[in-house]
Amino acid sequence: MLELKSITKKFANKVVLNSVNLRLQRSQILFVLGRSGVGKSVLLKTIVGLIPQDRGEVWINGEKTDPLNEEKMVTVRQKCGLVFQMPALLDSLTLQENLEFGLEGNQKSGLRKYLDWVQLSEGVLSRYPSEVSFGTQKKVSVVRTLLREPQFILFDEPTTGLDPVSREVTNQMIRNVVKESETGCVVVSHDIQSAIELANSIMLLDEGRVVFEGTPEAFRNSDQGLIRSFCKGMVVLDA
Amino acid sequence: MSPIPYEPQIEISHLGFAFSADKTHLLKEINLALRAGDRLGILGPSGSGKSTLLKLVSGLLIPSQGEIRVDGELIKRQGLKQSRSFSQKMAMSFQKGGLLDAYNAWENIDFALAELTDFSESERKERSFHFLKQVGLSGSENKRLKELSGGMLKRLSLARVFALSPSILLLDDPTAGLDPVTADEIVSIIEEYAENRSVILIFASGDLAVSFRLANRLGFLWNGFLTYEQSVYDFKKCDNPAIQQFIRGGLSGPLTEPVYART
Repeated sequence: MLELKSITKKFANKVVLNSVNLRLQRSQILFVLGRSGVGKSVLLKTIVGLIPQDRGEVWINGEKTDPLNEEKMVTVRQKCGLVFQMPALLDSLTLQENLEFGLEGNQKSGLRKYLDWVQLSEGVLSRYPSEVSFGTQKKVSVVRTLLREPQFILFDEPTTGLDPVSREVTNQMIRNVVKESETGCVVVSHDIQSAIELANSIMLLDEGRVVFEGTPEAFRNSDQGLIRSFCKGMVVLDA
Repeated sequence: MSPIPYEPQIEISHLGFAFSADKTHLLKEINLALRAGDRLGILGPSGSGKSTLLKLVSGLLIPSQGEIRVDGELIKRQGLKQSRSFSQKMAMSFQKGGLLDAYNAWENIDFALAELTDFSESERKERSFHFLKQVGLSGSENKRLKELSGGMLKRLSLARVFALSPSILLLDDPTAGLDPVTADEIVSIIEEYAENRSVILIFASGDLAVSFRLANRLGFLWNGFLTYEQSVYDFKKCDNPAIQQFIRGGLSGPLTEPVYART
């Protein structure tokens, strides 16, 4: 289980995260929604120690992380893979070389399986990032994370800016990965449509605090003002 | 007797476009007529040419074939041959804002006014401040761009469009990357401008919810052709399988995600 206990983070005088708690079991998908600038990405980065929290604790499978111990954080980052919004591949390496970069020999064994999960053919791996579509680059970046056999995957805005077909491809990929690997996923997003379709639970952040936590069903039926505004982002086809 | 109010019109016929002679046409055959009051939303997969179509209408790109007429006047490459009165009719906001980092918020509007209008220096400043207020940016007039959030930058680029009081607004994905709450605020600002004037609005968008709300006509750009419907309702109900797949999601249908980069 991935657990955050009263995480607090300030930048200058602004409290970005104010006693945020979170619990995620394996095989579950948690969507963290919130307006831009509300600290969603900061939350992800505190989990892997890229931004150390001011107060509060991160627990992974019953073990507390220490963001100041860089050596131990390497292990944490293997357990919790972060998938950035942009694919962040190295331009000068082929896709294959990108995937193998920094891997131990025995970590390459799952490659074919993972390519299958994200629906990518092996043939494409001889290409350079610039030769493939953005969607393919994203898939490769997910495979790169999977090769480290994480127990939890943290997605930062996986569907922002994608057209509906690419969004569907991405969501299908997340679904597949969770089903096949039983990882737990935290998805930071403001894509309400995907949240409703994918999430087991939704958490809404506002002004540093968790203002909603519950099922997609409960989210849709809530009469909180901010949630109503968020739901305007949903597509209505029968009117 | 009051003068007949000016009403813009756009006529696009047999429009085709390729980025160079040896490349296939991104746009093959586009025909379209728009009148004042039309708010056309252009939907379509990434890379289908939505931004390119807007740039052609604005004169930033020149057609490979066919023509675009605004109020009967043929569009030529803007800035080089187009008349100043023409530039005043039309204003475009860009997906990434098209703002200048070296200027602060109000100066980004001021410079456009200085280039395209005859307002005096003090009038320009007053106008810049006025339109910043209209988009909810009072108090941010002197801020550098890096101090503004994504939503604020979108507002600023809209304020610059509004300050030119165009009759034709071309907006390239005005809500790209914004959260739904901010997107909804931006849509309200655009609606308010469009409703109070006799304008043509053409916008490209990747956001279905935004498009359904802002448009009164919807087009779908795919494989170089634009299919359009006279109302949002008709668009949702149309039997074009690509459109249905696009608005309902789903992986089975004519639309597929490309594996390789476009060449």
